[in-house]
Parts: sequence; structure tokens; C-alpha cells
Amino acid sequence: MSNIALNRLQRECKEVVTNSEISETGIMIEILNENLTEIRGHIRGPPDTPYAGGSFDLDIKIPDQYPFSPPNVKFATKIWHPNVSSQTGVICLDILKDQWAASLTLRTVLLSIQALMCTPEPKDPQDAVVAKQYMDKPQVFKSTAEFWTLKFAKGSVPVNVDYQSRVDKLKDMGVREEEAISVLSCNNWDLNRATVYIFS
Amino acid sequence: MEQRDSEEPGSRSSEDTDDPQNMSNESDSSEPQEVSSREREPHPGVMLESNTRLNITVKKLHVCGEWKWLQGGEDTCGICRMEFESACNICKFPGDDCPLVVGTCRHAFHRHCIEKWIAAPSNQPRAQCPLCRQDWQVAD
Repeated sequence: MSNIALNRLQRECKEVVTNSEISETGIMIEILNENLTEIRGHIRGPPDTPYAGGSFDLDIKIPDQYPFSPPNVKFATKIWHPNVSSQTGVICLDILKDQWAASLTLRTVLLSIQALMCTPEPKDPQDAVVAKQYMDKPQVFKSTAEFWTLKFAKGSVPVNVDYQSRVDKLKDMGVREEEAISVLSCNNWDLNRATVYIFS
Repeated sequence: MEQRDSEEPGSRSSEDTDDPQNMSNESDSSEPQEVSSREREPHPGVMLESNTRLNITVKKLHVCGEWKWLQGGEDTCGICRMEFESACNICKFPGDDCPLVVGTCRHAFHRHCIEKWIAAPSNQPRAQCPLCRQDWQVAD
């Protein structure tokens, strides 16, 4: 890693760690290796969203040209959101691509992602299936996102018994829980269609 | 910072409170320069005029300087996050090799930092200010 990247990252890490606002906004970073190329970010799910109460981890990779190129950020925790791939965690956010600016920092990036969790952009989706559900069946989207938050992000909303029973039925058929949740979510929780999808 | 030695060590604190007065005395008589230029030789010291019963002799004097870029204000460079007066991450020392550059949007950066940002591939074909996204142009 170049000197400039390392120097700036050290200052940024200090900024995030010492900033008292962090305890209020719920963003945090954790350094994974000494040369600061890999960083783990944490975002607390914003209140009044389906992600409330969840704790979301992000993988951050710092390119050599940082801060002149954006960091590579994706969700490590599975999340049901129109602008995040439900399969890979890849995020669709302009400032992580062509709208990056050298004045942005890890802190502002994490705050932007947190803001994206509050206001999805279904017209510029990363996951078309999620985006379609968000627009066509907002109630199903909300309960699905809540279910994912509970299952994958240690969320605190009570479990949706109806959804859980369908997941259990697929599990009884030998399907892994994660796959069961994913396929049911993509099929608007239609157990028959999910079964056909998995076994055909 | 200045240090003064007194013939009466017990009365130092009262000397300190006299500081402003003493300092103006010094600059009037331009004695400090003489003292510092001869710093290496043993010097008997300079007796200060005094209206009190204290006899103050300046034996040693440390002079400190401070500099600032005129355009920058109290801010830090938005690219490297260092103070404007410290070296950017490319330079070892701050100074004229890497002065502040101010854009037409009034945002200032270290020269090396903004040059690198303008050359960044993600910033083509037209460079924008990293802070306000207006087209970057150096102010006259």
C-alpha cells in the first residue's frame, strides 16, 4: 500500500474510533490486518426500518490508490435490500463508483450506506428480485427484510411464525436454512413455487 | 518563549506577571537580537530597566517562529486530512514545493494532493472539486 493511503487511513481510523458520535450513529470499524488493506465495518440497523436492531458487518478492501480510488465495500451480513445483492452483498451506491471523491472517508461511506438502508433506490437496483418486491408488494418486502434482519443480523423483532414454518418445511426436505430463506424470499414466500424452484 | 533569570530567585512569579511590560522594553531597545547572535559565547547578560526594586538580567533567550499559509484558514486538507501547514503525504517537509492551491470554489488543498486527484482515472474527463463537486479550476 502506498504511503499516502496508509497515512490517511491511520488518521481515519483514529477519527472513527475517537469520534463520540459513533455511539449515537452506530457505525464502527475494526482493523483486520496491520497494513490496513482489510477493514471490517459495522453498521447498526437504523431505527424505523426493517433493519432496526440488526448488526450488519461489511467487508472493506482498500485499493492501493486510495483515497484517489474508492474503497471496495460489500455486506458480509446477508441483507434484503433493493440496492444490495441478496446473494453476494455487493452494494450499488454511486459514491462507491463514479461519484467517489477523495474527500470522502470510511466514516462518511459507512454513514452513506446507513442512509441507503433508510431510503432504498428501487429504480437503480442491485438485486432486481428484491427491487420488484419492494415496489409491487411493500408489505411482503418489509416482513421479508425484517425476517432477514432477525435471522442474519441478530435483529430483535419477534420471529414471523408463518415465514418460519415455511422455512422449516423446506428444511425438513433437506434444504439448508440459508438457501430456504433465500428461495422463499425470492418467490414471495410461496412454498409451492419455492419447492418447485429447488427440486426441478 | 523567553526565560529570564533573576538575582532573586524567590521572586520569579512576580517577574512573569511583569512580562508584557518587559517585552516591550526589549523590543524597544532591540537587545534580544544581540543576545541571540552571541548566544554561543558566554555573555554576561542584559540588565533590564526596571521601576521596581527587582534587578532583572536576561541571560538566555529562545526565539520561536510560526508560519501559516495565508489562504488556508484553520482547516485541514480535504484529501490527505493533514493540516495545511504540515507536509502532504507525498512530501517529507511542508513548504514552497507543495503550496496550497485554491480553486474557484474557494476550497484549498495541498498542491500534490489536488494534482493527484485531478489525474485519477475516476475523475475523467473533467475534474471536480473533491469537496463540492464543482468543476475544478484554480483560482487566480
